[in-house]
Amino acid sequence: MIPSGRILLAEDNANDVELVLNALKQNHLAHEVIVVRDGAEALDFLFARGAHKARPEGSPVVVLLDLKMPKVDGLEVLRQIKSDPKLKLIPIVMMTSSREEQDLVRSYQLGVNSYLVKPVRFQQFVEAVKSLSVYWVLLNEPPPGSFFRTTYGGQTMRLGHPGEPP
Amino acid sequence: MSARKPNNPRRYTAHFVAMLVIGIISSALYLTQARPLELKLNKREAARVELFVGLSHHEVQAIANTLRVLACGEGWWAYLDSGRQADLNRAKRRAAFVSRHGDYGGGLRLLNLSGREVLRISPADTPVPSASWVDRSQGSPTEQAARFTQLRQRFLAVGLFLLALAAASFWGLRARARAREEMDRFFDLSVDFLCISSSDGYFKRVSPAVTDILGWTQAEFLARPFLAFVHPDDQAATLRAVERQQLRRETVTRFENRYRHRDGSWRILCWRSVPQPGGLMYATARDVTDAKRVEQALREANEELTRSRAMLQSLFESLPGLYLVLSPDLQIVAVSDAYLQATMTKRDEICGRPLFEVFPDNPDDPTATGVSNLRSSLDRVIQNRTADTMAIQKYDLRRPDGRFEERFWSPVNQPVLGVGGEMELIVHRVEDVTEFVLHKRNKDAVGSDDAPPRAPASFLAQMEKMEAEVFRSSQALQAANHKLQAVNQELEAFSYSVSHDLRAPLRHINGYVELLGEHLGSNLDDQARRYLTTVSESAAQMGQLIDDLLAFSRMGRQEMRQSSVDLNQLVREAVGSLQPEMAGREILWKIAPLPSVQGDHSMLLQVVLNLLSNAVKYTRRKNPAEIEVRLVRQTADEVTVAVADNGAGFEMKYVDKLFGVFQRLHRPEEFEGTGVGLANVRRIVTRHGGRVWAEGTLNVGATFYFSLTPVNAN
Repeated sequence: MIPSGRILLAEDNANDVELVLNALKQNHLAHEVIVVRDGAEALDFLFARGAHKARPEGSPVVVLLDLKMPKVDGLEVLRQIKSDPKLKLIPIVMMTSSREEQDLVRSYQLGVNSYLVKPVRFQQFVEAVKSLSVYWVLLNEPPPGSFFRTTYGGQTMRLGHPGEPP
Repeated sequence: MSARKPNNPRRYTAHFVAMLVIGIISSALYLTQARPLELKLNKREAARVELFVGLSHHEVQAIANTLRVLACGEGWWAYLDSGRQADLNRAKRRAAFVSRHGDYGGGLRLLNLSGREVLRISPADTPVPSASWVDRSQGSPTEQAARFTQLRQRFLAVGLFLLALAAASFWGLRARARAREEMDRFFDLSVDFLCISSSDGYFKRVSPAVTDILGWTQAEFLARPFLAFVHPDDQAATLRAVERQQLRRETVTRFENRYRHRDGSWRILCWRSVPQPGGLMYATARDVTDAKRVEQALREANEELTRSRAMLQSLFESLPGLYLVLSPDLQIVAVSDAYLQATMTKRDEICGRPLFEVFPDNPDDPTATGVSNLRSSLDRVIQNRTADTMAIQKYDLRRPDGRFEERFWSPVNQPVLGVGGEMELIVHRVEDVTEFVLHKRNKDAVGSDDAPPRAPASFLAQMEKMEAEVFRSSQALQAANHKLQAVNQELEAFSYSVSHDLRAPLRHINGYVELLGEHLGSNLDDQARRYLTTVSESAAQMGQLIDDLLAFSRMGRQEMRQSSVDLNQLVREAVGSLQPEMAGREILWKIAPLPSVQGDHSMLLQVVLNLLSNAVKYTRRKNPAEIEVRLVRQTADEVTVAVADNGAGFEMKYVDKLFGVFQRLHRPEEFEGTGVGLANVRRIVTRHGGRVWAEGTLNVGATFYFSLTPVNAN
């Protein structure tokens, strides 16, 4: 059985979702991704509530979190995760378009585990996403209680809004 | 309840029943066994004992009817009991044992087997109460009889004794049962939970209060070792407390630990526990969780109160204004540091003392009105409960050396009213206007020689005018400041948005171009490939532009950290970080010693780096390249440094465009760049109060100058 759905990607922009999945495809991790399309949904998933109430137990081994999202932005998601005694163990990687000092400082204050400024050049972007996912998914030993060999939502692990591309 | 035998009511019942049964058996033995013995004895004795009774036939009959021979201890008892009717046959039979034997004067004589008289009863003694007789004959039946009677007596004694004991134990049992019932009622009633634990680590018994306090049923609580309920951090201490009881037989009081509630929370219990022989511990536990919480909250509130009071106090004391707080009876309650400084007094010397004792009128000035004016102003405040602004006062100050110094003040007195509107405090605020008044007086004195001080009214008018002006301009300044801040914030928000929102589409363009290239793969001809590359590169270029623009915009708003900056070090750092660009190039560097200047280190590094980086870039086609850093001029107020190269240079007619944002004098194919570097140089140098300019000749070289303020300048 293929382990699936160990990465939670919170990203509002469909293009970015596709590009990240494309980058992950290169090291065969694309099927590992559960996609949520804004901060509110990310929190719903992590706290297993709302539409994600019935999801199997466990946490992603890493959350890739876009900084600028509608409804609840990445910093707020990060704050809520890190102030929950159980969820705070989950490694969080902040992904952002630009290196803003204030975001960087705030993220680390809130306890972010990694901070990636998405490079403009696609090859560099692919490299960055690849090494990031290899590290967090394959090399890093996740905290206890993380997803492992679990399925969710049948074959496909993507939990985007219905009708939208994954 | 007995400490050692907590569970033995059954044992008591067994004792009781045993005693009862033995008692009953003994009594039954007495009743059933003794009677046949007596009769048997009589029959035997009939053969051997003769009774000689010198009585009339009627009398003998009467005696025979009633004669009883009772066995008793070592002897025989005989007594006459008149008035009892016996069976006639039995009387005759007995009469057969009795024969006339001479006249004994109506007495009765009993002889034993050997014919000795053992008992004589004279008629005068009738009725005979009793007489003892000891059988000294050798006849064994008598001895046997004696033994039987003894046995019978013992049965009776034992029976009675045991019955008595049984009764006693019955009463004891009942009392115990009642006491136990009472105890149990208390045990079950207690709000604290009571328990008995044993050395095996389990509770043996626990009162129902445990359910109220910890949520567990009694059965659940007894089913697991008590340590399983104790908070992990408290287990060691708990074991120590148990050890103290088990090993040292100490009573433990006020021991606290946390027990797990059934709902998963922790409750703090306060224990009192007494060790008992046999490893048992009797204990009571009180739930002090809420009490602790309240205590903690109270303590925190108290600390907070103390803290905020101290903060308020120090805040008040450090106020820049001159404040004195007075009680309604005009004692000094509090004073600000500024007031102390202005009046040359010390807090502990004036607090708690009457105002006018601390600040009396100048005795050398017969016209002094300070005290009386201030007193009537304060009276007005107390009377009307409204603030009272006083005119400028001459109120001389007594210096620590006792002499008085001329001082002018502008005081305002303000009441502080309590909840019910009562006067609580008066805040007395003053401004020291001595300098202003004296200055004014001098100026006037120059106009009209040695004129007396002008009337206070004219001062006041002047003052008010000035004050109003100052107020107006400060208001305007503040408004402008607010506006500036708002604009700055807007700009910040704008550039924040730009950096995020403009870069994302660029990334997408780049990404999809790349994916398109992969997708089409070999179907792509060279032309198409070139188009795609151009799209990618343009996007990357735009990303760079955005970055530079943002950096430039930030540079204008970033706060400057002034320090002494060594220009030599800046040059070293800049050259160091340019190594990658210089790889494979031959560059002749000429770097002169430079002085230190005032400024922000990281900003000035940016200036030097941009200039040197430009020099390296634009000399790319020269071999060898020559780059020179030299000190052009150094005065007390200005240091001028030049960076000169033998590179591409520029035409002087375009010199004005050099330092503009996005202004370039070369095509990107010749020299890459965004046109922000020199704009940044100018912005930084300008912010440092310096100047920047350039000279150049196309294809010969360029020289850039910048001037900054040296360290130790005025």
